[in-house]
Amino acid sequence: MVRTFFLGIAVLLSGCQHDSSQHQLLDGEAGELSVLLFTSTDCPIANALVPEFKRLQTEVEEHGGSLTCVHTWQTRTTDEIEKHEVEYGFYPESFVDTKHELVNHFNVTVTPEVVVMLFDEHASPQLMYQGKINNLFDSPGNRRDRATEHYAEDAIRNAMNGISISPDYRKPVGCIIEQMND
Amino acid sequence: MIELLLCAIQESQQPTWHNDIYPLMLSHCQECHDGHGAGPFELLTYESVSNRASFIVELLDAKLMPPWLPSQKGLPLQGERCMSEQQIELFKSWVSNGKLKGEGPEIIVCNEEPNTYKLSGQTNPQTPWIIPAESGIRWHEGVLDKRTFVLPIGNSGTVKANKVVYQTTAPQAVQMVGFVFDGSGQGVEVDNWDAEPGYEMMGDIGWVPSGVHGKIGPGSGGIHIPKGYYIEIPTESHLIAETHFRPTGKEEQLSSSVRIWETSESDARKLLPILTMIRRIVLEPEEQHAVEGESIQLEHDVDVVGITPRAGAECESMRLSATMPEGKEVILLDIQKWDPHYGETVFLESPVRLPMGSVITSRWVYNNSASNPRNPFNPSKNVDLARRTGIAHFILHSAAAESNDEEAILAWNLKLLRQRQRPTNNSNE
Ligand code: HEC
Repeated sequence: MVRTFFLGIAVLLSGCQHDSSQHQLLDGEAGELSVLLFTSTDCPIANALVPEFKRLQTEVEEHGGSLTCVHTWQTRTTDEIEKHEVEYGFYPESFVDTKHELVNHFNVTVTPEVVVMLFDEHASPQLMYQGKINNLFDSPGNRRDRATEHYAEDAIRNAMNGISISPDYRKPVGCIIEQMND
Repeated sequence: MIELLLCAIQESQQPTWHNDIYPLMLSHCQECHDGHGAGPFELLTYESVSNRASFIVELLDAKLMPPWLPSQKGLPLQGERCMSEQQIELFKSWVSNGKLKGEGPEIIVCNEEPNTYKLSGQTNPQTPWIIPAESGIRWHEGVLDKRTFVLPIGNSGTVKANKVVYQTTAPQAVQMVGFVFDGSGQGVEVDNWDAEPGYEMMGDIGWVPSGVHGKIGPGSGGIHIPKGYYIEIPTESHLIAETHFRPTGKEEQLSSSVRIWETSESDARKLLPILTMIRRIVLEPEEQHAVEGESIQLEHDVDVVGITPRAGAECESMRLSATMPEGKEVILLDIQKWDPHYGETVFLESPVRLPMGSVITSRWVYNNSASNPRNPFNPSKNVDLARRTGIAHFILHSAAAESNDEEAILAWNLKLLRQRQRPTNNSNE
């Protein structure tokens, strides 16, 4: 696990606590929880989960952790993301992963996909859970009326108590992220 | 088109966006993915398609896009959306050859309907219905993702309609919409019970099933009655629109409007509904491969022009077939992977004559296990549902071979409906 991962190229979009263009997304304090939500503003599968994202955000922030949306569409603009935030009433910390550094670092394949990290006593990030957020979608085109299992929520609750869950990876269902050509 | 594409492959030219892919998007995706319709994004620019090419390949392989439920086992249908294997291969070869752009003009597509409609109606745009951001409300143990709206048409006489175009302000959230043109005033009466737009009940009006005047799926935008036929809109009608929606993650404001075109053909024939159905369905928890169905025998010669399917989320597949008096069997419609959201009315490529004495057989396969992702209940529960117009049905939109049989056919259909309604302890009615 990489200790610190500098995202010099990431475009910081909102959230006043970070005013540096070099966001240390994989940097945190011991015991802190960090959740990355890989998403895309026009993926209908990710959008259908926005109400769940909001609940996760509340949960994480109540416990002093942070939740960040990582936009996987390389050319997504600040305007587009802000418009989406207003439409959905969801105002997370947001990044555009213009060079797919985070996507490649975590081998993220689709949106939406979650990464739950807990910083250990050495302030080094431990991966607690990655993958599917809930079971609203069984596969693209196979959608339940509502989710009956909430994997990300379970992982976050456990992680807050320092417990990792099993399985710690579930294959996510969503819009496949196009590999970059270069 | 297919020949053209085959040529392109044979000459082993590398496919390009302008020569090959853009035309494919126009013919198979633009209907919904023009940026304003049912699809979540436009698929008419190089950037948009090339940036999700791998995802598109997966959906094409899984036959999920373009959405089209009927299988090739049934009769040929008008407007089949499915892509041929060659077309899918062409798209894949474009991707594996580096998604070349090529050169060509950007074409602007204009899909405006001519403004020659006869009638129109709309819900009150001042009081839109709010579609919630996600599902959750339940009503009578069912999932409440539908609402019936009443659109006043107010025609002073009957109208012979051959086209109905329906628009909503929430095209991505609205899925299937079933239509009844109601001249009885019952729909508007129910709507007036409270000040909210629309009502929670289904869109059936008495014995008349929702969908009797057609059912649309996402993107189809309307009903186009084949040449030579019409649907009759009674005097002083209201359009009863049973509207199913699928929340998109944000609240959406729903208003809808309808425009109706009149046929200019003096010899067009009226479409009548013939219903075959299962009135009640009883399933044990975890029950799979439960087969339900019925057979009815025609008392008059009819031409079947279109078919509207109905079934709940636990249904996996369905088939409608007919056995002619001399024993020949025709599969009218076959759906292997049912999805109620896409259960739209389909019209046969050419109408099929079913003589008096033909037996129409319908068959539905249900899966009530929790492993069926469409099952709203996990763990699965007992299912015991009934609807007087059929918890599952096919509406055969048919014309009487002899026009003076029309009344008799309607009376026969109503007689069957009443018979099925009789209380019985036997669920295999
Ligand atoms: C009849 C309308 C219609 C047509 C035609 C259509 N789509 Fe779609 N498409 C939709 C709808 C509606 C959705 C949103 C998901 C859903 O409701 O199933 C969608 C979603 C998608 C998605 C996102 C995946 C998902 O499950 O949400 C992709 C990618 C896509 N379509 C590609 C295509 C391509 C490529 C074509 C042409 C080959 C096409 N579509 C043709 C209606 C259509």
